[in-house]
Amino acid sequence: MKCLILNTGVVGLLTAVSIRRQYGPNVSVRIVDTYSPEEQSIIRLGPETLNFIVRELGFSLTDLMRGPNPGIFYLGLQVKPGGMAETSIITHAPTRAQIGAMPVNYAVERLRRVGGMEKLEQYSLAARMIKANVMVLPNKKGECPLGEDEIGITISADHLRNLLMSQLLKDGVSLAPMKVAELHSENECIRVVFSDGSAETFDFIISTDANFEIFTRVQCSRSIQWASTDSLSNPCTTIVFDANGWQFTESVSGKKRKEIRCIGEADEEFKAAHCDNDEIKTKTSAWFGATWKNRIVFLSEYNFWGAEFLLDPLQPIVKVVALLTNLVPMHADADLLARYFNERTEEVGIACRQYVVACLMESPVKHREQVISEYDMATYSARKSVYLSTGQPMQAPANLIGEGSWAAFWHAFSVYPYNISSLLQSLDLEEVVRQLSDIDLNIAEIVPRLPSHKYYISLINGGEA
Amino acid sequence: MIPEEIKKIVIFGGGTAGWMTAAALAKFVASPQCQIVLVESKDIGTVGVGEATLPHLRAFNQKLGIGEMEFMQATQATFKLGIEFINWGEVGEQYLHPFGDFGREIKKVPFYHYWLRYKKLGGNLSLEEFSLPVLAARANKFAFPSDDVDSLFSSFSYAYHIDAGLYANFLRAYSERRGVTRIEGKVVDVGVANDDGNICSLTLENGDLICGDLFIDCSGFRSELLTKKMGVSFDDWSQWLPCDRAVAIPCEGQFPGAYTRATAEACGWRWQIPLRHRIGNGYVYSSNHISDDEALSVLRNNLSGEPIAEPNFLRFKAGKRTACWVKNVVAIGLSSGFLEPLESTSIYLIQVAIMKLIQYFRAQNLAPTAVDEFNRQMQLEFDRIRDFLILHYHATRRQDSEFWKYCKNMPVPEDLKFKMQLFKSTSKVVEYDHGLFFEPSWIAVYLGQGIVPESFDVRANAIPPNELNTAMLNLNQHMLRAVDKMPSQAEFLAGYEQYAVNKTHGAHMSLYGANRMGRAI
Repeated sequence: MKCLILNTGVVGLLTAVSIRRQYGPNVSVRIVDTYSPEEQSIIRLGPETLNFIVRELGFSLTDLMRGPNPGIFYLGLQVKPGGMAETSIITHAPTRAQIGAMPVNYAVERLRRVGGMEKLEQYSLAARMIKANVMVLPNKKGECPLGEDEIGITISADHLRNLLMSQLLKDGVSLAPMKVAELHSENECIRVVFSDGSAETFDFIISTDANFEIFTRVQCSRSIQWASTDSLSNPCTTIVFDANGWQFTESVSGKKRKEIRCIGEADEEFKAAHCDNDEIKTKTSAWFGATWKNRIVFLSEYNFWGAEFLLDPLQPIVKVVALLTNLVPMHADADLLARYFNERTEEVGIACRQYVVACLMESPVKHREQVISEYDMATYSARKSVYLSTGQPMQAPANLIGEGSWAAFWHAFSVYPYNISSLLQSLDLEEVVRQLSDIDLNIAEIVPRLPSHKYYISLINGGEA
Repeated sequence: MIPEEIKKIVIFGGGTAGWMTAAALAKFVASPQCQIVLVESKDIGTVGVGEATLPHLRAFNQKLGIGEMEFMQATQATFKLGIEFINWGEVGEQYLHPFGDFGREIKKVPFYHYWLRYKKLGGNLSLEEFSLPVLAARANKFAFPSDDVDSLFSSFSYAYHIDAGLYANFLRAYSERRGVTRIEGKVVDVGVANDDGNICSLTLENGDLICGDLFIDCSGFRSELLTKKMGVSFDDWSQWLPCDRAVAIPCEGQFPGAYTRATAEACGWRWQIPLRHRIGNGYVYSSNHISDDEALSVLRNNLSGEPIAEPNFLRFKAGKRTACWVKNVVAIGLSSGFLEPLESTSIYLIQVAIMKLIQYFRAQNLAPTAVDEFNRQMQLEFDRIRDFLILHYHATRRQDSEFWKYCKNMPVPEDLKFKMQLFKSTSKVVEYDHGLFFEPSWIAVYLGQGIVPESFDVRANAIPPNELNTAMLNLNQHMLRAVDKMPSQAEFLAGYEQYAVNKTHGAHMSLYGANRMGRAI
């Protein structure tokens, strides 16, 4: 079985390492390097992505965190929804605590109905660790009861790319800096003619080049600002929305990257508010997508449109890469596999878009309706209506954004149900208050004992954590 | 439009569906502002569906705060670890669909791929020999599963065989203690409000008028409210699930294992469900292929003990109402649709509808979108169970009767056709995120009924043949030793309290145990 991967961006390399790791010499992988980085970047690895890279691909957390600009921990997103709304924190497992066998958000919502003003993040250890800028991984001392599903990291994208590349070189995967000149479908394979005139046949091709013929294009403008910094950021990423657009700030040790975006062409207001004219680029980006067509699998790069809103921006890609890894090498009817792949990835795409659309619609960003399809708008409206009237989440496809994350999202944007769940009504209100208070006190006891984020990063870089 | 404020909920019909609904509403919804009333008539019999249950029922009982021992004693329950299918693929063949996994995933590759390779290399052991619940069920042994995912005992779950009539009685007492009002009487008329088309009242034979704001239709096959009054149409699935009759007779006797038995007959299939005090028996058949008398005769000839009741005949049509919740009527149980009891899904569907109703129900300002979401999710539940049931009929090599020839050759839903092709061609089982039956169930039926894939995952080649053979034998021995140490079901029931002290397994919304945890209900 022979597989060709086009583009050595992070997604192409992740796919290559995943296939090599799973199949070894049973599948021959060749990579053609068409990667041309536009700028250095920082990449957020949420819990599912981090687990995939560590558990499935075999990289150590320490190796990922090291690098010229060492990585930092990433326990959640700090969101400022715009206008007068307060900043909120959305963590990776925001409703881990339970009351009456129900996630804690139900209790918080119940309390709000009788005048309680506490925010959901008050009952999240991870959120309180972000605020206090402290960090420790779960350890045998039991210092910190964070779950694996609550921990992510932020690292340099080039560092991750280099790690993946080195692994592939060790595995003997050939990396050729050339282009594909022609593709010809033949009987159960594809003949590829390269730019140097050589030709080879492959069973499958995986392309992570942006393909706007296949994926829906979205135009946006952006300005990127880098800054050196001596202080270490809190273990989170920040997103601020306003009418002009949104800005997100990510950090690694010593560096901070701020990206400001708006929908469509930047107008004068945007330029005046955010940056000098010459810094703004208008870029066509794509919604997340993955499609299997005639033995070629097209995959979005990780910086697909709206990915920055997701808690784990690579999560949809990782889901698709894992699926692809399970399917590619099967000697079987490619059309059947393609149908299966396309149906599953469509669900991932819908789940992803639903969250991105909700972020936009709850924000004051201008022109947002222009980039949202009728279907996505209808789904968003239905989801919000169900939540408002019942306090219940709509069943989400693809297990991408869990019920807890949706609850935390609504809370962050100050959307609260006007009816609370019957499932918690049977619990006495005093009992709800008491249990919430216990969670709060328990967290308050833990957090002050934890080392500072900066100190903990230095331990990791010294290899001691 | 649903009334702005729901102050009174009226449940039309008792039976399993009615009293399960009443109990759950009593626990989660009833308040001084919201009254629950159930109307039933002693003169109208209940079907008593679902003597065989799925593990999810444990989660339902747990939510209601019902203790397992109390429940088991009240319903004469026994433990159930799966369903045995006899004569389905071909006459003389049998397999067991367990509430659990086969083997253990190795390096992200499902165990059955290794087993396919092991067989190709000449291995003798069947897939069942690598399933703890199958081995335990056949030996009539039982132990509680574990939530420790490193333990072999995390690979399975369990359900019960119950006397559904006794369960309804038990829940009636539970509900009445919590304020549910039971009204005895036969409904002779249903009142509909002129302005919004909502149902507003039930009139009883004695002239009493029962008014309400929300009506739960638990009237069984008659679907008195949803179908007869609201005019909701029926999605007929009988072209895929051709059985439309059943006859049931309980008998005396003992049963060899902790499982339900489903034996395929010439024109349908027979169930045997072991309880403590009797065995439930029934024949589900196609009236196009066999008469009622002939079916009764087949059932009688196969009773393993003296009958203890007269035969009870049922008529039904497989399918589902196009919506389960319309205006202020929610249909739960047989009134919403019927899928035959081949995989014991009746009580599960009742339970899921109740829990979704409670999730989305609000006493004030209930949004139409919540109703839409309820209907969408119920549709999905029915569809996925339907396809899995059809698989049992269609994946057959039997040619010994017109019934089986029809099933083998009938066109099946496109989704199911695709799933079967994909498995046959690639050994891949279609995965989805929500629903009831996942990979282990599909594998059990595919392989149990002779659909063997042409290939297996090449990653299973990573283990050298000798090592694979040794590993398979070791795993089987390990499981056999574990089963050997389990108490028999009778010993377990007698010493329940002693075993329950060490219970480490919670109730999950999953068929398969902690290894494949489902959503908590």
